[in-house]
Amino acid sequence: MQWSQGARGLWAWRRQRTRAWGAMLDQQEILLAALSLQHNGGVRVVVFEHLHAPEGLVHHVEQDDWLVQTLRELGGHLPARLRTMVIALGQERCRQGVLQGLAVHDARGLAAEVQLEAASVWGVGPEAVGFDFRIEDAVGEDGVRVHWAACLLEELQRWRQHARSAGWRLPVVEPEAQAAMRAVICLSGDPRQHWAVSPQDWCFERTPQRLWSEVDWPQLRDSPMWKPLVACGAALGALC
Amino acid sequence: MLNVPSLNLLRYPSPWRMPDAQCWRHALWPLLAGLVAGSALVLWQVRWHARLQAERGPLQASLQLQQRQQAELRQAQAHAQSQSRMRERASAWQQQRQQFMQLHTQLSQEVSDAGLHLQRWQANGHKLSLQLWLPHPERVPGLVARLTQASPQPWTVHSLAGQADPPGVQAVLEAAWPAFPAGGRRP
Repeated sequence: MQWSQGARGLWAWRRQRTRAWGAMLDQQEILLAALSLQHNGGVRVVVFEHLHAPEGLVHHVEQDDWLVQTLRELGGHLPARLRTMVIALGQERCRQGVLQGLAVHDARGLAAEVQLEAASVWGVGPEAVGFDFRIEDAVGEDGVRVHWAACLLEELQRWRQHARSAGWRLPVVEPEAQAAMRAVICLSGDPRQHWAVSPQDWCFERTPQRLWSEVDWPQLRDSPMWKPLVACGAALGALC
Repeated sequence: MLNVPSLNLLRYPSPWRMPDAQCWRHALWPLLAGLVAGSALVLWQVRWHARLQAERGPLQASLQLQQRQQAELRQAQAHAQSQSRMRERASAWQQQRQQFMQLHTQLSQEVSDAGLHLQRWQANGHKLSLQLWLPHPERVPGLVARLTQASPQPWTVHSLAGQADPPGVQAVLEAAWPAFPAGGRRP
């Protein structure tokens, strides 16, 4: 038993990252944030980059080349173990929804239902979507409620390939709202005061600092803080 | 951090079913085959190495024995050659001793028969010369013939001179004499 506990501890230590990168992918821009775990348990932004694709890159192949080149330059000086990045996708790249009244309870059946629903929303075949879902804890009278998010599998694979070719690990691709929610809930201090502060000076905690209901989400989404929060939240997801 | 589980769009479809994973799945069998072949090769090498190590000890002992035997054989051959040379040399010495003895006997005979008086005996390199005195010059050819018969080489007259006191003839005779074998001493 002792050796198994030791192995678990070693595995936990191995998995514990002290620095991670998050990216918010938009059509013509990338927001990148690197967060570092401090000795006091807090998390600081150590790198924040807002990169705009050069004008004239109309074709997506050219944009991909620019993305790969950007990632390669960013990770060139980093050791391989630190090149971990989480990507958050905007609404135009990631669709979300809720399925209600599902009679199916096993995971495979739910996955099949979600895949069909996501495919119909995107208007593609079921094999062309990448997705994930979350079952709501409270079961209603009309059955389980499932929150899902999906994007096109082709794009997903392209980003994975780009990340890999640039030397990065890409363990997670998530919706931007999820990353933003994580960042806002863990942001130190009053979020409204951060409007005037550069993202480079933001601090985060690894435990929630406020409730979901305390945040004015529509206002936050329209604010200039949104995209930086998404990038930081993505990196935070890889750290915690 | 958050109570609700995070969504990860890479989770579904299962990575093993994604087309990207097809490469891995296709590469799996060659990978496994390579692993098995590599392991077999390493195992074979380890066993082969152990077998070679086991064979090395007796082979090394055999080699040392062979080297020792060869050294002893060389030593025995050298000893036999040395013995053979010594025998040859002893034989040559014996033969020369007999020749000298024959010459000595013949000269002793001439002293008593012809009144020969041997004044000097000189061996110089491969040549033997005798300086002698005879009372009668006509006996010189007979003496040369008899000495030639008693020696392995013919004798020749090198010089001949008359002498008044005592009356007779002074002669110097020479003969080539076989060389002694190298490395030895004259008996």
